[in-house]
Amino acid sequence: MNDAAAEEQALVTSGQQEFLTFTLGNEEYAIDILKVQEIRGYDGVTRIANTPAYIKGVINMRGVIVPVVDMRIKFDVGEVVYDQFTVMIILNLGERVVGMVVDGVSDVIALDPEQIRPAPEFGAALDTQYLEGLATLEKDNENEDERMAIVVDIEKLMTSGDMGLMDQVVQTG
Amino acid sequence: MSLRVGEEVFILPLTRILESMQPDKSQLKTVSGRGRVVHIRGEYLPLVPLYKLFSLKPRFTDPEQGILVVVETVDGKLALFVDELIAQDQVVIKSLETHYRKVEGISGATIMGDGRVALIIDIERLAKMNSAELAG
Repeated sequence: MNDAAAEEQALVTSGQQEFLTFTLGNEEYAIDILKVQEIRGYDGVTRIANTPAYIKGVINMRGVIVPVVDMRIKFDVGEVVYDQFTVMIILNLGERVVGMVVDGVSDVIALDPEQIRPAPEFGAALDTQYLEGLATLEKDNENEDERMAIVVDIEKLMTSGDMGLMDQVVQTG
Repeated sequence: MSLRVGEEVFILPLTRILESMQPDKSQLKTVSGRGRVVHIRGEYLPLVPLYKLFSLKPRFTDPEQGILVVVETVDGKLALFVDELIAQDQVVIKSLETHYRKVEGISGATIMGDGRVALIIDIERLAKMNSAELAG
């Protein structure tokens, strides 16, 4: 068994799940890493007319046409600039692929289910119905402040009517 | 046929294009102060500025400087006003709906030689969008 497989096995047996963390403004968010397909720069986006400002358009991802949303505009956090440091997380949500622009990608962390605490009804830019909870991140060193990550159910968020990324067959409300 | 409006490139099905032309001032008329028509060989065709329908920043807002593309729709002919024509291309039509959703006035997308995505115009919807735009 190679190292990656061994690590995977260790995660499964411990019940831990891996998350990718990214920043939006001053907040740190975590999403299930298995939903992340890749991370890439912001480039070659074709605008689509008459869409909300946070839908930046579509990109060609190796022959697949994928929509791009800017979470900084959607949730009105962070500074909206597009340069060589702008990153886009490509999410694979079942049958859909979506690109998401964030302020920065930070880390990959492993969390125990019990480390994720239920979120209160306020306090994040996102609606709480899309939050799985809040998690405390381990300190890298003693001098650091304790950091909190907001664990997001990214699939639920991206497929919701709020994002307007998909034609809604049934409007849930 | 690929064409440009502002920074964006669009694709128009070649089979629907009748002609392209640069109009004279004498050919351009307005109807009740809002809608514009262009007079081509005895016919009055509605002038549809693509930049207005797709909320773009065009290079030209004066039809005399840009180019008009006369297209045939089931409801009659239209004169689309664009910045410039680029080239004839053969393109592979890709769906926008695989990962996104239906977009008004767009029938699909394609990937151009430089790797960028270009949207394919749905001519049949344009006439309706133009009327809505004028009414609104």
